[in-house]
Amino acid sequence: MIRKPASHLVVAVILALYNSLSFAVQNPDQITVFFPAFQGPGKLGLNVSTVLSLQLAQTTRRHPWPHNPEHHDFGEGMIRWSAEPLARSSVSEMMKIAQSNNLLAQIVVAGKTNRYGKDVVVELDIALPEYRRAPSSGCSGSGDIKCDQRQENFEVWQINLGDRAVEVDVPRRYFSISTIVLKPEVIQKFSTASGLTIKDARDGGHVIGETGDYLRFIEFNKHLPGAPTKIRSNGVEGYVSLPELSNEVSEFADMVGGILQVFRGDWDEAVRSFNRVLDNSKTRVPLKVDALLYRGMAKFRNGENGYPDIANAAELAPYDTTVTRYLVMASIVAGKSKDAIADILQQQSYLFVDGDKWLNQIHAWLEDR
Amino acid sequence: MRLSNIALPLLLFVYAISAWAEDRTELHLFQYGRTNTDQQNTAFLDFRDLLTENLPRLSAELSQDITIPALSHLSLKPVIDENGELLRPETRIGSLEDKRRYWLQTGALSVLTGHIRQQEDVPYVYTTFYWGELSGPYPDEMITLKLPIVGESFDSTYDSHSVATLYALAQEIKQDCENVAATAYLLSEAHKRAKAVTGDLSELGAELENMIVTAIDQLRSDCGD
Repeated sequence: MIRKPASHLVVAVILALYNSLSFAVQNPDQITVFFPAFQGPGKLGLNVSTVLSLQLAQTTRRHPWPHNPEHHDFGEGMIRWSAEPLARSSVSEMMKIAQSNNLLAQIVVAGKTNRYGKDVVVELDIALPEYRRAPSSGCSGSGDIKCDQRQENFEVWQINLGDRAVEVDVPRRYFSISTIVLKPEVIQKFSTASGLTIKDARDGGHVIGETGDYLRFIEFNKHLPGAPTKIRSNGVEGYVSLPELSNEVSEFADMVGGILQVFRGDWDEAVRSFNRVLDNSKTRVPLKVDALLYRGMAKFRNGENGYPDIANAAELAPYDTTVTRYLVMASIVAGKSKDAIADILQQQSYLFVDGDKWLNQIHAWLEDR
Repeated sequence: MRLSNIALPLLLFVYAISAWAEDRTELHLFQYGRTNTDQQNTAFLDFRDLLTENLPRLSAELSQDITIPALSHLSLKPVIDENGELLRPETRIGSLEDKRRYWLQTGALSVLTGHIRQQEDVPYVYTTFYWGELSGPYPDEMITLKLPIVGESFDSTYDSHSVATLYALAQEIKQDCENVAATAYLLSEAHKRAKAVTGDLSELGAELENMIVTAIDQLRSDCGD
């Protein structure tokens, strides 16, 4: 299932299968994460991005294991890592490269390492380019929004209201993760090392090489010390250990991993990822709000009650338009009365621009009673 | 009368009118004080880089959700002399009256001055964020932000300066309630960031949160629900 890598791009592939009886997910599409090396002095950005891409890869699953009686199928997920950093880390550059025809990535991770005071920090930006759903005939025709061949856009939350449907998009299409403060020993080691050390055994063994421009992930052991990961790079196959980059655990892998699961319709795993994001004391409020919205939505779509999560988000961000949209959607799915929903809209109407299409749809639905 | 005698004042008049008509979007940065040692100067340069690189990042992040023309022009403008060196504030804005005049005449969104102070082994940046007539319901025409220049405070430094910037920009675009949703959007984004600061620096975060909540209350009061 591994695609032939394009030029300097490489990566690993993670397949996942899953489904639940009532909320079966059959994902026919591939979800791609584009992960270029980070900008930074020497080899620091390259090595840090390698470690974080491996951490992200470990958050996914090929199949629910050991039990998968319902044969869940989430389709294919791919992380395309590149040894070449982006020339510019602007959001427009990230979107442009992600949407190039030989990539069509749904998630882009860009970063850079910077000195700040006596420390070196890693700044991380995530972009989720917008694509329109592919019609059954494929992506022919033109439109303002690019088409990525996917038949299912699981990240868009749609609910049916009898004769009509309303939907909300992902909370944000471009956002930052908390900066990671690198440990001094990581800076020292990674500034000059040309790659991560590859050994011939999972629990140590001999050094047989270093990671290079091509990386393929083969096996993950995230619960073992050092999370030894089997990879193939520069013609060498062996294990790399993932060092702790910082004194505190970053929410990066769990947040981006959770979003990746949402794109694939793996609601169970998404909820677990967002649980860890929300339990992490490093997670800052804007991201916490997003994680609550994603988790609430994932719970609803898995047949559970996601209303409390979305109500919590509304308490944290009471003036946020996107949160208001999610709160209304949650209220509808949770069976709140139309009066209660009308009250929310009345209180929050000042947040919406005149002529907001989604708001008009909800108003029209409320009036049909 | 020579043509140049008419043309120059006319040109200045046209420039003043056009500058006045545009939204205020630039943060004017002066040289911070107490940057005499290498360590303090390096700390200031790191802080300056943070602002320079992250204002476009803030602008890009928020512009994904809403179209606010002023947001896309948000930038840090170093106020420099003929040698390209940052000007010390005393050369242009030595008094509060000078600062007010500078703010009015240049069309700056805000004027940033401050200093670096070493406390034990940690450099702290003190920024006076002057927003002139854009103070809104905040009781002063400036706010002071104090943060340590250490990696752990990078996000709070970015967030707190973003809050002050978004607050000023919200006041700038409010314009007789013509942009209520856009104003509320900027204040909402500022509110989330202020809450994030509270998690690290409770006193500063609480002050920023209170400032934003007051501004939203006033927006709703002035412009109706």
